[in-house]
Amino acid sequence: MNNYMGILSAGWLIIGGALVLIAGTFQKVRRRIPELSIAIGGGATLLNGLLAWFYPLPKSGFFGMVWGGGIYSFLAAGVMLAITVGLSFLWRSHREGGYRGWEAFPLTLFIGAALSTLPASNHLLLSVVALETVSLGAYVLTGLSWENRYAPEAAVKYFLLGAVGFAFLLLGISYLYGLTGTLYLHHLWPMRWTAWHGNSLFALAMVLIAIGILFKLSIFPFHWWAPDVYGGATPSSAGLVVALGKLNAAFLAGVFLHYIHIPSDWLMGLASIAAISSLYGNLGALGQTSIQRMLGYSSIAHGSYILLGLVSGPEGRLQAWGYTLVYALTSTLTFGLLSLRAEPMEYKSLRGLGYNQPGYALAVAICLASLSGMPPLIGFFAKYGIFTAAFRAGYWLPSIVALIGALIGYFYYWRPIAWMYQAGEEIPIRMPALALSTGVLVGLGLLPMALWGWLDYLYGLAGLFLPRP
Amino acid sequence: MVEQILPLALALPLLGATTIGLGGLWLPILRKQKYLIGGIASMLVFGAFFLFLAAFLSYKEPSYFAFAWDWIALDPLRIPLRYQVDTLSLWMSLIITGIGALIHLYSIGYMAEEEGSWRYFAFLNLFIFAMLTLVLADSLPLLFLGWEGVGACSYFLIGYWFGEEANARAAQKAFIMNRIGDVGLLAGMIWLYAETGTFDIERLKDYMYGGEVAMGVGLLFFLAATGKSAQLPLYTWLPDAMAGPTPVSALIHAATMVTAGVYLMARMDFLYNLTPETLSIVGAIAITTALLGGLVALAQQDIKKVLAYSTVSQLGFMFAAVSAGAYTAAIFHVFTHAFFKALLFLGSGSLIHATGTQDIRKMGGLRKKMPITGWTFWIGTVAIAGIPPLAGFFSKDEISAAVYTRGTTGEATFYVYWLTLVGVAFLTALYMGRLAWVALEGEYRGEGTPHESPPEMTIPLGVLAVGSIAAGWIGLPPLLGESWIREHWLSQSIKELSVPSLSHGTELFLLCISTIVGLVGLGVAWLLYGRKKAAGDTFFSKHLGRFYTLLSQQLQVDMLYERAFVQPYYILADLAKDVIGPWIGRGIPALVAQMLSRLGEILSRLQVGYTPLYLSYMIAGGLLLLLWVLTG
Repeated sequence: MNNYMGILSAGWLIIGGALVLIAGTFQKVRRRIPELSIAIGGGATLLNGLLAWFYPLPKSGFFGMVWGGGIYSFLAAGVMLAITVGLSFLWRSHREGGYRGWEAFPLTLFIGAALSTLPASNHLLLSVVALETVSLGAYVLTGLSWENRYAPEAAVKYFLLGAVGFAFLLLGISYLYGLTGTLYLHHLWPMRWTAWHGNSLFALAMVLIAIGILFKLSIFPFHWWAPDVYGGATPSSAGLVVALGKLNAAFLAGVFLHYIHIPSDWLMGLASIAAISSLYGNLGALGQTSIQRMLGYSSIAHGSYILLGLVSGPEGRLQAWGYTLVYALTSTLTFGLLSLRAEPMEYKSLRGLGYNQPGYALAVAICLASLSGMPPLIGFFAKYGIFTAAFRAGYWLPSIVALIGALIGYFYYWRPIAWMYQAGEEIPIRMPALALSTGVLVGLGLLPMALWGWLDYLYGLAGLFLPRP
Repeated sequence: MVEQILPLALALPLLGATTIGLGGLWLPILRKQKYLIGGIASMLVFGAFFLFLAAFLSYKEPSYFAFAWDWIALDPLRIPLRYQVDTLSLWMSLIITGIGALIHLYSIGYMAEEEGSWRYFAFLNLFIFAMLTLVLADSLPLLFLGWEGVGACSYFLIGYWFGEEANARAAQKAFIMNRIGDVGLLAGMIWLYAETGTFDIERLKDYMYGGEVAMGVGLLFFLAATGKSAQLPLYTWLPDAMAGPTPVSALIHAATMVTAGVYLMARMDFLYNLTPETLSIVGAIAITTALLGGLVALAQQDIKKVLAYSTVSQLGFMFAAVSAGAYTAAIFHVFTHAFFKALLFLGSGSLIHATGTQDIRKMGGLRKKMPITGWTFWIGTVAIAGIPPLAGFFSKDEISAAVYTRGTTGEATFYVYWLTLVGVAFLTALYMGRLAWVALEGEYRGEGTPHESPPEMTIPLGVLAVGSIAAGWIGLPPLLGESWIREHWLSQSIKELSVPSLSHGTELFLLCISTIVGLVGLGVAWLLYGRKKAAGDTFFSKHLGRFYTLLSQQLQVDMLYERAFVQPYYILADLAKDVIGPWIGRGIPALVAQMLSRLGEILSRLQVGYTPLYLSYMIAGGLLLLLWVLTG
């Protein structure tokens, strides 16, 4: 059992995805594919959650290639939760689109398998394979639309630029291999990295890897694709694509920064880039009139918060991972909810929604508020964790600049909320609505904090807080 | 043992709240199964009670149960989800689940004709969970979670019949008044954290506090207690809270939630023991509240209002005990009061259920028509009046003895407090006697023919009546034996202010005074209301004149608050709306927003959508990065 824990969930997803793929070739069962896929995804979430619960201490398996249990299963459960939510939103558009593009479902399951293996991988080659499986899937998901003429363009752009970014990353890793002679992460951990500091080949390798990762995180000045891709992607899968990109980059970067010792002034440089990127993304989002494009710009800003966390030591990496999971889930929810409406995602089309469809509007409003970092929603705690870690790591100036960026973010996240509650006849709010919203606040505010505590506990058990030898 | 079963005891009511709440919300068919819903809710609380009982019987030493991970893990702030089982918290849990289970059972009958009883039972179960969290919490934030949780449940249940505006307003009033107090808890909590760096109650005990910290935090916590436990000046929500269903008044606004303030102060004994000056202030407020509650109760015609003011007054007794440093006496009174006040409220609910009115002038003669309700109501009356050997006598006597003892240590004001308490004890017997004689004896003055309530309502009455008789025997005064609850139970977790013990002569004197005062009070009530058939009200209004009118108008405190706080608040709000808003609030932010938006537009012009250009930007960026790394 222990040996296979690391590939249990991936195996489940790959076999499940293959079954779905075979089933889809039969015309008759094709309509049942979404339900089947959601069940498989939900099953993987549950499986990983149970593994994390019952095996808090991670175990190495599969010839030492992957970890299983503990924090790795927790992360996989988070990933699969976001993916399952994303799948359930795809379902709706799928049904209305006449079941064309059903391939998105098995594809997403394969992506899930790869993405949940990525943080658990103990070998860089496996990491790279997982990373690129996710990216390739994301390219397809971006463009898988028959109505939206921007979507294929966005997908091609994503693919072209993404391929270049990945090439940088791969080149960097090959240099790293040349330097160290190993791709096993547990061999990289005890190395005396300080000996390499100042070596130009090491610097080159690191810069190349950094470019690859910064690209995936959509950090200025490697972010150019993000507004175009996220703004043009098929609305029903845009949330998933955003989530996949961020999770991908955050997991890989977290692993790198844990195992490889980076000179502190480089980390400071990365933090400064994050700060600039936060300003850039937030300012860019201000001027948008389309919600989808606004969310595309804001993903630059969110990438910058994640980067800021990643460079802030072990605690920062933990917070960054937590933040990414939260961001992935919230952005999937936000895009998914917005895609349920037939109208284009313009601010104006939201007018009066709060009165016509109070429940729906409330859900969208809570998602947007959480993205903006409003207490007591989980988005606030996530941001709070990142910024405290950054402050504690000594990145005062970058943190303050990034915080100013986040402050600007409030404006554009709350603007759609303002539109929703504008100019409708006034309806007094009744007790059940109040009770429900209180429940939602408690559910979103308190429960995730307990989950945060769980993540922290597992992170510690996995030894990721350990100081460098 | 305890560690394994108690998480379950905490989980049962939460399970009930979620299943009943979500089930009722999503499966409207279930809402009709009222007996099923009520039965499940009651069984779960009974289950929790038996688990706590098992823990009580096997109790050896304080223990903890906790989740493996923390609730909030933001280094260095770590708040574990950990619960503390010591004699104090276990005792409170027994009261909450024991009385709570009986009231759940009673509610099945009381709410049988209600459409939305699923909502009622879901919140009632949630209340039990929140209250258990409050008393079992081992850190202040977790306690605060429970504190707010019971506040929210109280809000939802007061406003249970939210169709009527008065009820919704009463709910809001309770909520807002409690928020004012909560500021005290929050501020005190933060102050303590700033001082010590921990929220852990056990660890807080080990710190050396400066006088001003102990006093400041103590007063802030007392402010929180005045809100939750209805003391001056924040008590006015409690009489209004009677808008909720009567079992709610019995459980939340008499037996458990309103005693949370007493619990908080008993839990924070180490702070109050440091500064007796704080306790003197507490005493002054407690005594005034007790007196005020007793006086106003005398002039009310609404049966629930009488009981509500009686609760305010009895809570004053509890805080008087706290002010004397006798926290165990306060908890002891919480215990006995839970029995007889729950009994009285449930009895009044039974009467209201039968007669359809809350006005005691339209009742009368009900003991003959509803013998079980009538007799148990009498037992509750005699118990609260402090007649031996019923429960109220022992706890009240312990309080008055404790206050008197503080007087003997040189704190002369405590003699005044003691004297007032004796007066309030007399008032208690008087207004309760009035209530019983007017409502239960004489001729029936209302409409229809009232019938005895169903067994699911009378069984709890019977059990509570037994408790009202016997609950005091675990706390005998030193003259008669040994106080088990103080010497063998609560002393393990509460450290009282040390005072000299009284001589047997003084003690006998105090015991006699207590008994005589209670008997005289009931006697006067009999003279005015029993013998002369409800002639007492005219007697009082003749001799007290305008003061009596003022009392029947509840001293017009609400109007006073309206003038003193609400109106000025509106003036401020208007000022903000008309002056600060348009001039300062809109101008400057608008300017900043304009500038930022312009900047944003300029930036997004860089995004031309031409892929080769993006590629060259990227390569340029990469080269710059490389340059920086290689040169720097």
